[in-house]
Amino acid sequence: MLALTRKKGDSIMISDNIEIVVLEVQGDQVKLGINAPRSVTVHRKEIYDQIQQENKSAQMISKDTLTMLGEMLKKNIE
Amino acid sequence: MKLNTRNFGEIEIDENKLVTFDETIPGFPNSRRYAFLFDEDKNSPFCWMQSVDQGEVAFALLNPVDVLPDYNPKVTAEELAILGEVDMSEISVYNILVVPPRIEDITVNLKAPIVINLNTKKAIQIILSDDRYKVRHNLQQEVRSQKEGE
Repeated sequence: MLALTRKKGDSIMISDNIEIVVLEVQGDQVKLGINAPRSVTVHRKEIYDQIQQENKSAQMISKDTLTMLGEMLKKNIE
Repeated sequence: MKLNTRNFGEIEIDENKLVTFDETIPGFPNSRRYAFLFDEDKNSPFCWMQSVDQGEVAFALLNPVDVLPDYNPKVTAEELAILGEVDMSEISVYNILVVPPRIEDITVNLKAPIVINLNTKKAIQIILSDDRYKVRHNLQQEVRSQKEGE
């Protein structure tokens, strides 16, 4: 992993269109600003990991399960 | 085209109706194109999103419009821009279902909906910043509480 030391107000460029700015440093917290094209999505890693895990868990569902579920849900709605 | 799938065996799909994820679904970098498979029962809130690139990959989806009427995901302009020219009437939202061993415990992911632009047939899984929405909501409880809130 590339490691760079930066001060408050400094930034780094990733490729020619993504800028990450150190906005604030307080104790063990760092506030970052990100300038990136609209097509680039930015997420907190722990949330991204959680979504990824959930998407994988979603693969366990079978066709029969969904049919049963339809019946169950009907009872709830009616 | 013919497609071999885990859940449905060999199926015939219409190549013109596929949706494309330019940015792939987290966890599935090798699946870009998906086909939507709907139930024969037109009133079913469920459908399948079957990967065309990987036959073993399929998501069971909930259309929240009727069963979760209070669900109101705020999608940003930036997120929509990825889907191309956007007319809000052409946007569809679905939520991914996860079924644990006990079917009663089924959960729905309200935090990261699948958003589709029906016009451009481009789709994306967005991650909402809204803290009301979590990755796992018990579907039955959610349906009941939103019904009571009517």
